[in-house]
Amino acid sequence: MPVSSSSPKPASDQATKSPLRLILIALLPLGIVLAVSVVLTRSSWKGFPAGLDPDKTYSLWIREVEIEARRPDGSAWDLGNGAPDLHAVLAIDGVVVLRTPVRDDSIVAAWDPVSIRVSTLLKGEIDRSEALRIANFRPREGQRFTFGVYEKDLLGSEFVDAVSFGDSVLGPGRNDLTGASSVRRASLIVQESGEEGAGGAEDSGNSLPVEWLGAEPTELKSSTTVLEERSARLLGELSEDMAGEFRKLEGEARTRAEQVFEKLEKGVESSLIDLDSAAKELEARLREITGQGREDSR
Amino acid sequence: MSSQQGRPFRLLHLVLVQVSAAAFAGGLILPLFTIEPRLDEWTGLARILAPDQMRAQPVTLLGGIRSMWMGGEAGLAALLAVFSILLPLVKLCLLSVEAVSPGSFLGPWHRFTKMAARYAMLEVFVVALLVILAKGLPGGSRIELGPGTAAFAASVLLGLVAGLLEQRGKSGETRE
Repeated sequence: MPVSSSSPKPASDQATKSPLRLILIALLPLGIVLAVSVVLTRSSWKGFPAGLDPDKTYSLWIREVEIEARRPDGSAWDLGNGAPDLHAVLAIDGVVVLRTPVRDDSIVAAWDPVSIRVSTLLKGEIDRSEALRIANFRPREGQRFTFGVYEKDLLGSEFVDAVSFGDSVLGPGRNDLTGASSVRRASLIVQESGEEGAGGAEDSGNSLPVEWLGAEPTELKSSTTVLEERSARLLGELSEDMAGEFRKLEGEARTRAEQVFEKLEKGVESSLIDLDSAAKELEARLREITGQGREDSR
Repeated sequence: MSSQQGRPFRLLHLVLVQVSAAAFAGGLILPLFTIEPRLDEWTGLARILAPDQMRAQPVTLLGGIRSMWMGGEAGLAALLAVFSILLPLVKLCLLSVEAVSPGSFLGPWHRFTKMAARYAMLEVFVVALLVILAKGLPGGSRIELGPGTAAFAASVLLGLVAGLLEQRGKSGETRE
């Protein structure tokens, strides 16, 4: 690099012109460009702020659930060595806010946030909100999310696994829940409301190792399960009540029957006595008549 | 202007160059503009039926050049990369050295600095922008300028100011 200096310079200026320092200074903008690029690439400027903003409303939907091909005991999920029929449920603060439809015979079940029912189409007017299969929420402190995976069978839904976590775990974009479970991975998408299904969100993923519960949380139990349990409880109570009533009725019937039998017995007894006396009377009468007849014949 | 008097001036020059470099990085990484596909009164229905097709697409300078490269337009991508990325970077590096040690570059280096400064200009950036725009714009869609455009423009303007300061510094020293 040719360096020129027409007039004598102070020592400090000479020092700044040392080749190494000049190279470093030349590379300084390059370093700044690289550093700022890295910071911008990793930070919120690409459309997603780090964490969730409590002043905003977010949409959450279940994108994908992947489970092990077989149950932990090695048996098949479904009859005929079949893959499971998966569906998932999401609850926020103990209230179920989202249920996916069942994906038949799938190890990896995927859902779209947009779903149009035929009935909606037949109405002739489609509202975007009607076509979305999402849960809306506003982040706040202490918020709990509970997510569960189920396998639909002939008799109902079989629980696979569930996880519960706070709002601090979730971030904007794709949140991949992983961990030791039959559920290998579950992807939840969080996006600012109004941007649902617009893509992009699924490109940025947060891998979240979570602790799966292994037991079905109460808040995730389906309405049919709850109904079944409630019906069973009611039926039990009803059968107990009915058994009591039956016992009471049985007692009453027995008492009544005993009374009737007693009366009947007494009646029969008195009837027999009456019959006996009537027979004796008849006999006496007959004897009297036969005695009179003999006398007349004589 | 003596060397001692010119020191704050050089410092300002150096700071401007580095700020310009930071803004330049923003221009590369941040979205220059966002394409919002629309289909007039069918926009709502299209968003429901084909959300991926109708999503807003932020376009960055690096992303645009990359997609051109991947799309088989390597020549155009290389041209844009040279004029929108390489030359502005070289210009910033040379300006940085000039800020600390005026008159370091003579002969071919000086000519290269001038050439780099000439071609790493806003017009070139605008042309690049239009090329990317023309390539990616779906019918009936809307474009919104993003922060990357402002960052790139800021970088270019700061570079110009730094260049002016450099010239002023040189003329001061010549008068000395």
